[in-house]
Amino acid sequence: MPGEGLKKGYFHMKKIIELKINGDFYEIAVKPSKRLLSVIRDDIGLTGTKEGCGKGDCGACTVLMNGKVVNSCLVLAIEAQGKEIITIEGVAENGDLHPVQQALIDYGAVQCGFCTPGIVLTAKALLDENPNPSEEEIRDYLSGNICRCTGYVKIVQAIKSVRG
Amino acid sequence: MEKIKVTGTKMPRIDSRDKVLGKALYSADINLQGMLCGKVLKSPFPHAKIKNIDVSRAKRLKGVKAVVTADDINRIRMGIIMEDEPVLAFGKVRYVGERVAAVAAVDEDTANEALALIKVEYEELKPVFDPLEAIEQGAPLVHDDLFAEGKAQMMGIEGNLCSSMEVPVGDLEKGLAESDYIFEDTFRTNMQHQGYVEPHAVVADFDISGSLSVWTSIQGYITVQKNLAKMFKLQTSKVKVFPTEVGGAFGGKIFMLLEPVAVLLSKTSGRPVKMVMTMEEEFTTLGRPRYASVIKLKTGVKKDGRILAKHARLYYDLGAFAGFGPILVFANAMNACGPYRVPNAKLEGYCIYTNKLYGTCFRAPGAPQMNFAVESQMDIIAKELGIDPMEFRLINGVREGDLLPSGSMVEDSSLLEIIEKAGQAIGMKETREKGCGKGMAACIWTNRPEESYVHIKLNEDSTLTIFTGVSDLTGARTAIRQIVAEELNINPDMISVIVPDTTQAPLTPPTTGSGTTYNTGFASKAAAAEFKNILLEVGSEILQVSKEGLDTGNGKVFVKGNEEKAATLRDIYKHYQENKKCPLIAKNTSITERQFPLFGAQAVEVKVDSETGRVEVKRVVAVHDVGKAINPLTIEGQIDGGVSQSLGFALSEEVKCKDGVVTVNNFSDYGIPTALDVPNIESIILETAPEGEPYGVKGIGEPPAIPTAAAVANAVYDAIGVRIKELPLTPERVLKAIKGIGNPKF
Repeated sequence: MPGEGLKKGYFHMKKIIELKINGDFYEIAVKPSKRLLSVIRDDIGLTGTKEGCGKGDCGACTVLMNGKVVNSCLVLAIEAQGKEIITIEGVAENGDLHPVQQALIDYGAVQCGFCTPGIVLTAKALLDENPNPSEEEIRDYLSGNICRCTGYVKIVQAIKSVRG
Repeated sequence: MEKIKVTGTKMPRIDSRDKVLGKALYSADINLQGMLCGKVLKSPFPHAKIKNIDVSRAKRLKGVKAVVTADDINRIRMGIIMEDEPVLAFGKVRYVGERVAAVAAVDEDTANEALALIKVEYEELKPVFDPLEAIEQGAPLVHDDLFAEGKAQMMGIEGNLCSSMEVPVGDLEKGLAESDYIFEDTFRTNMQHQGYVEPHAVVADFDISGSLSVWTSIQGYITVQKNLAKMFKLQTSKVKVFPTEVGGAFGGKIFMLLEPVAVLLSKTSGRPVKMVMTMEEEFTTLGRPRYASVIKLKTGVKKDGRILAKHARLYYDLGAFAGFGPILVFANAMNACGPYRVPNAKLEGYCIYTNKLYGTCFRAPGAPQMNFAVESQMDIIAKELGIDPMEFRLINGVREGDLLPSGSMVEDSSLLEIIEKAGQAIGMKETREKGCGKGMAACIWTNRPEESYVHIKLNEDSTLTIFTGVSDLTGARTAIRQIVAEELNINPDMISVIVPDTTQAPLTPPTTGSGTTYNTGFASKAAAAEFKNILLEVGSEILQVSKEGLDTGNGKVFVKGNEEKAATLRDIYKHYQENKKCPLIAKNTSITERQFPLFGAQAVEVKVDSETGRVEVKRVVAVHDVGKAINPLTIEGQIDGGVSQSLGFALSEEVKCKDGVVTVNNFSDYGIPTALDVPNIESIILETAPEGEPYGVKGIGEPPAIPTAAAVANAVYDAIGVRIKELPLTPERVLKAIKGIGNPKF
């Protein structure tokens, strides 16, 4: 909108950015202050990524950026340009579940499910990095993902079951 | 034909596939055309008169589509038990965070900008924060306006005392007089947030024609339909509440939270409105935590360890509004005897208004607080009498035929076995490593029987569709499918469970009170019986064999002893359709009536760092009698969840409040347990199915959250030799306790 940028200052002016999410390219106009999480959920409509605390505390908004776990509520959309973003919708291939997804189901590690997308991505990143983590390493890696339903018991069991 | 066995086997939840794929829809995932963002303006003062609210500048801001105050909703009040909470404040505000106005705008930034443009003139009043001070003469009145309107008198409010109760058992004075020793202790617990990761969210779409659609994160979506229809004077048939997945609730999402405000904003703007609490709002202002409490216990015992008398006084710090307090205080005061024989008692409960954030239910509402007090005192007494804490519990534990304070009789009790199992598993009588301690606690709770309906429909392709109105938080859909599959001897894969919106959903109670599998399971069994009866009747017509000679299984109705002679469900469907000209649907109600005492015990081992005061939980053993485990996988999950939440209650979680202002606004400062804090929880499921009930389900949702904190407190005492009577046992509190007595055990 002409004039609005001048009135509110540069940081409210929208920029066109290109994001690669789950292998697809999206061209979106965003304010520089817009969070990656909001772009994923609201602009692109991939609602599998959840917003819990919005402060980087809970991990519900976890996505992978170049294979690394990030809280998408703390990443600006403009920072994600040129990076490979994977959201929960990009984990299963042609309907085939990732072994972590299947294990979480089988072990009863899914209750309310709100933390589950973040847990799946965190566990995937861990196993990609270290196919044979110890229980301590699993717990340490998961410590940024809050789950209120399971006490982490079955989540840890599930991840242990798919070690290399 | 072999009978399939589905109940009692571990079944993954049927909703888990959508959840691991990120496909499951929660309320905040709903997006409608033209949808606005709703935000609430909150009171900055704990107690103040509202002299004027000026919304004119906010209304003029570009992109703002509605600004509402109490005048837009006829200054009405709401409340689950007492209608004492204005939907939007008028006249005065009673806590920091009370809702004063709300806006709907095209986006969040504009909505927040509009809030800043609303000018409210306040005149500050003297607040009261401590519940015991609040009931003293001359304390500032939290609800003076209700008195002025004559409503407080009608509700039975006295000053800031919202409600009180007293239950006598036997003769307290006589019991105390006959006691050899009398113990008096005061315990305090602080506010605990439910800690669900999904903040409360609602989408409301009001149409001028009088129809309303709502998506909301709630434990009983059917109840929301009823409440909103009444509040906005709408025809029930036009209020469509959609069930969405709920990202954790634990009691915090039973009664409406933002729903009325969202509907009002949608009605005013003519557009759909989404409101999502921020996590900061959840903690500081709009969330509804577990009540803080003060508990005074006076207990008389004989030298031989028998409890003779108990005088319990429970003070609930309600905060600004009653919420569920008046019914919870009753249940919890009754819980002051614990699962023990107490021949003489006086159980008192008081709900007190203060100028603070107000509370609500949280998993076994009130019980973890009372259990902390009762079970801590059990250990205090055992120690003084020189009796082993486990033995002391066994001496006093209720037996079959005993009367509980509620007057109901214990028909069967597995309590003593449970206590022994927990104690043995943790090794209560074994020696401890340096700095370590072990402790245990037992509990009694009860399920809530309620009316529930389930419908079963036969489809053309011989599959079955089950309809239920359950808000599935705990795996209810999975359990319902297991029960129907078993009753009809049909592969569960042939059955879908559908939860329709409120215009079509069978009446089902909210998911509360450890009663979901009991109530919906009862209804599922009844509906399956009805369905089977119809199948047999139709089969009898097709096969020309009397109903009694037939049975169902494997997708067929067959002749007993000659399974070759059979009608498939497809044949049944066709025959029924041709003759009756209507779909084959079995409907059944079930009104469960029995309340079972739910017994459990937990034992923990902790290690206390004497330098930092940090308590590390090394082991937790949780033993619970569930009656019958329909799905052991989800039962273990309930135990894991309840225990881990109460480990937080015991050690770290506190909605800290100073001068009426909540000072924690995020998960880390709040102290929510992470994967590094919770040990592997050892569940021991006991099944003592009561006679005459379908499967013998009792319930499990709440009990696992009850005894954990007390068991931890007792283990910490065992480790450091000092008794701490206030939760949570933060490193600061533990360190202070250690230093205070010079650290005898290290």
